[in-house]
Amino acid sequence: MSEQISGLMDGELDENEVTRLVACLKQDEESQHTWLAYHVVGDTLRQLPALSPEFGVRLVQRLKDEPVILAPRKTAPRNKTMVALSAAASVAAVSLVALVALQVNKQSHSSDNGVEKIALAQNANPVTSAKLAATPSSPRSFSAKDNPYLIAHQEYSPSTVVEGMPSYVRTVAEVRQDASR
Amino acid sequence: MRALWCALLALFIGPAFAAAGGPQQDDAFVWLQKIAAAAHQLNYSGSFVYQHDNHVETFRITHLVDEGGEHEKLAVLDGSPRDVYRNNEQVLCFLPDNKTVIVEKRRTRKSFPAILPAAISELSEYYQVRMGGQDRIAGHECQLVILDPKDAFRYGHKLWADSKTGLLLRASTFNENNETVDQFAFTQLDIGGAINKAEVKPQLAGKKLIEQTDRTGNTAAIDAGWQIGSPPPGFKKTMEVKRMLPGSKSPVNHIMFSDGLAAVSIFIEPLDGDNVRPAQELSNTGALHVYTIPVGDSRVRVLGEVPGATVMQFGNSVSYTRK
Repeated sequence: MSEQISGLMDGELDENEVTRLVACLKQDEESQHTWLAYHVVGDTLRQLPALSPEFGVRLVQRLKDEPVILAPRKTAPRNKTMVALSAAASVAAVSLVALVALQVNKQSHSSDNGVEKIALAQNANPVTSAKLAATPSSPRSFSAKDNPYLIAHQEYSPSTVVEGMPSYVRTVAEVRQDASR
Repeated sequence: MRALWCALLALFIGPAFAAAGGPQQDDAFVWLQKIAAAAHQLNYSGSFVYQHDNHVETFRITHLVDEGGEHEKLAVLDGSPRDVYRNNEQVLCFLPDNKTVIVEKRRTRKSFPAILPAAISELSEYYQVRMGGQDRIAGHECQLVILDPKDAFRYGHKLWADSKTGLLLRASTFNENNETVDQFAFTQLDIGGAINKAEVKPQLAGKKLIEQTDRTGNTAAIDAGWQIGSPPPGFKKTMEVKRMLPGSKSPVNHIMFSDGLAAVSIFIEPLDGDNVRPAQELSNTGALHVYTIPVGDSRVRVLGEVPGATVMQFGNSVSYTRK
C-alpha cells in the first residue's frame, strides 16, 4: 500500500490505479497518515518552509466563507488551465494536492498517446516508422529511478566528448522535475 | 546557348563539390575537433542556463586541468541542490536528498579528443556539417557550426564556439521541423583563469556512496545473446558490457549504439519475480528520450539524445537468441 502511495506521489500509476487508490485514501485513515507523512518527508528533504499549525482547518474555514460566484465564465481550454494553476498557486495546501492530481492526469493522458503510437510503430515497416511513430507531444518526464541509467549512458556518449560537462544537464535537470512535483 | 552551358556545367560540378564536402565542411570539421579539445583541456568557470520543455534552469560549471588530469563541477543553482563532479574517469552525482551519491567509474580510460576524428567521416554520412555566422555570447566572439541531420532519426545541432579557444558557449538541439528541442548558453564565463582546486573537490563526509561500474574491462567481447534486429540507419554498435546498477539485483546488459555523435544506450535486465510487468512507456527531458518495454522475461530500457521514434525503433527490435 505504502509503495502505491509513493507511486501516486511520483506520478507512476496509471489512471485506473489512481482512481482505485484515491477511493481507498478517502476511507482508510492509516493510508491518509502515510500520504501525509510522505509529503512531510518530501518537503523536509526539499527544505520547504513548514505551514503554521492548524493551517488546513483555517483554510477550509476561509474557503467556506468565500462567496460563490455564479456568473458564467468563458470556457476556452487554455484559460481554464491558467485559472486552475493560478488558483492552486494562491492556496498552498490545496496546491500540493491539485498539482499532484494535475501531473497524474497529464501523465496518464500522454502515456496513453504514447502507447497508441507505439502500437502503430510496431505494425509499420521499421524504415518508415520514424514518421508514424512521431514523438507524443508531451511524454511524461523521467523519474529518479532512471538516474543510474542516465549517468551510465552519459559516460560513454560521444556528445559528452563534444560538449563536455554541460551534456550532463539533461541528467541533472530530470531530478529537478522530479523534486518539483 | 551560353546559359545552357553554364547550367550543364553547374549540374556536373555542383554534385562533385557536394560529394567532396568542400572547404566549408572541412573548416566545420576542424572546428568540431577544436570544440571537443577545448572542453577538456581548458580551465574555465562560468554560469549557463539550460532550457528544455518550458523549463529554464541555471547552472554553474568549474573546469580545472592540472597534472592530475581533469577535475570539474557542475552545480544546479535553482531548486534543491544537485551537483555532478568529475575526477578524470570517475563521475559523482549528488542526488537531491543531498545524502546519496552515485559513483560511476570507468575501467577503460577515454582518450580525449582522439575519439572524435575517427568518427568524422562517419559523421558526414548522416549529418551535413557546415559553418554558420559569427555571433557574440556572454561577451565572447564566437563561430557557429551547424550539423543538419540527413534523416529524422537524429537531431540537428547548432554549436557556438569561442572564436579564440573553441570552447562551446552555446549549443542547441533541433528536430526535423527546425524546432529547438533544448539548448544551453553561457551567461557569464571566464576562460583560462586560476581556479581553486577546493572548488572542484566533492564533500563526501557523511554521504552514502553507491558505486556503479562496468564489470568487464573489455568493452567489445561480451555477447550475451541479445540481438537488435533493425537499428535505425547509421547507428552502429560501439560496445556491450555487463554492469551493476544501484537497485538492480543482477548485472545489467548495457549495449551502446552511435552514429558518431548521437548515442543510444540499451539496458537489459531480468524482471524480478515480484515485479509487475512494465508497460511500454516513453519519457523525455529535452533531447533525451527514454523508452521502456518488456521483452520476454526482461525489461529493456532504451535511452539517448535522439527523437522518441529512434529509441522506440531500437526497443521494438530487441530479441533474444539462446546460445
